[in-house]
Amino acid sequence: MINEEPIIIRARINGGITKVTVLIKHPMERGDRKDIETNELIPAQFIQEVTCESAGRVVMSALWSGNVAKDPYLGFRFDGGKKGDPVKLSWVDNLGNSDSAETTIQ
Amino acid sequence: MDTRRRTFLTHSLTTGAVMLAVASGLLIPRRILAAWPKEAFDASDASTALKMLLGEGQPEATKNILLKTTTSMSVSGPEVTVVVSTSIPEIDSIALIVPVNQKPLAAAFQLGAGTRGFIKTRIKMDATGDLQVVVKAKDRLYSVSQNVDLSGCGCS
Repeated sequence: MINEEPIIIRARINGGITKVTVLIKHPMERGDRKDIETNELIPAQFIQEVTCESAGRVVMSALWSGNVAKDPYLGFRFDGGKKGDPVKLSWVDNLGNSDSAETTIQ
Repeated sequence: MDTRRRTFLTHSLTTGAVMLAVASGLLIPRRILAAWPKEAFDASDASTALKMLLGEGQPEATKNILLKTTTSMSVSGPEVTVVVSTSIPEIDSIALIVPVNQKPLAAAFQLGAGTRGFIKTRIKMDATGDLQVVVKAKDRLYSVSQNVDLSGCGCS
């Protein structure tokens, strides 16, 4: 999948279960890889915390290392959602960068 | 606030001030997570990482965690798509551990009250070896391991 948006988030309910899929554009550098042109170490830059809320409750929060692959993919499922409920995802990386995105349950 | 969440987080707290703020209920869960558990993520062996993340306690083997993996190659090295699904009730967290990596703890997912025992994500794996999944539920640890063979993915 070509990932142009910084965060792609989808939430779909079926049989009472809300399935959330997320794709985040992020380098997820561990800090141990060399730039092939300059031969210098690429500094660590990776998402450390991800939080997903829906209708005022935290449905999933994640703690990540640089071992989560580049342009992270995340899928999870929760009960108790309904069509139209907001689902909001936010992340913070080790350099203090952050971003968030919101969708509604389809 | 939920006491199980506190147990999970106790090991990630680094300062007395944060501890105090948590004890007095000043922080909402979202804030508490600001204490990323550095000791757990920096640990160079899987058992130390687990202890720092989830506390003492030996995970028990279970057949109630299903683990599916597929491998692929990227510019930064081999990657493994991981799908964890489990019927264990009242799950607090699901941790992914890759002992062959220099820093074995890859990720930990904390699940809300109505959240299903299901996680799909993609992680880096430096060599053929085990992928370990540890589920914490009702203060008990459950674990499953699976060997992931990278020899067929054009890696290395």
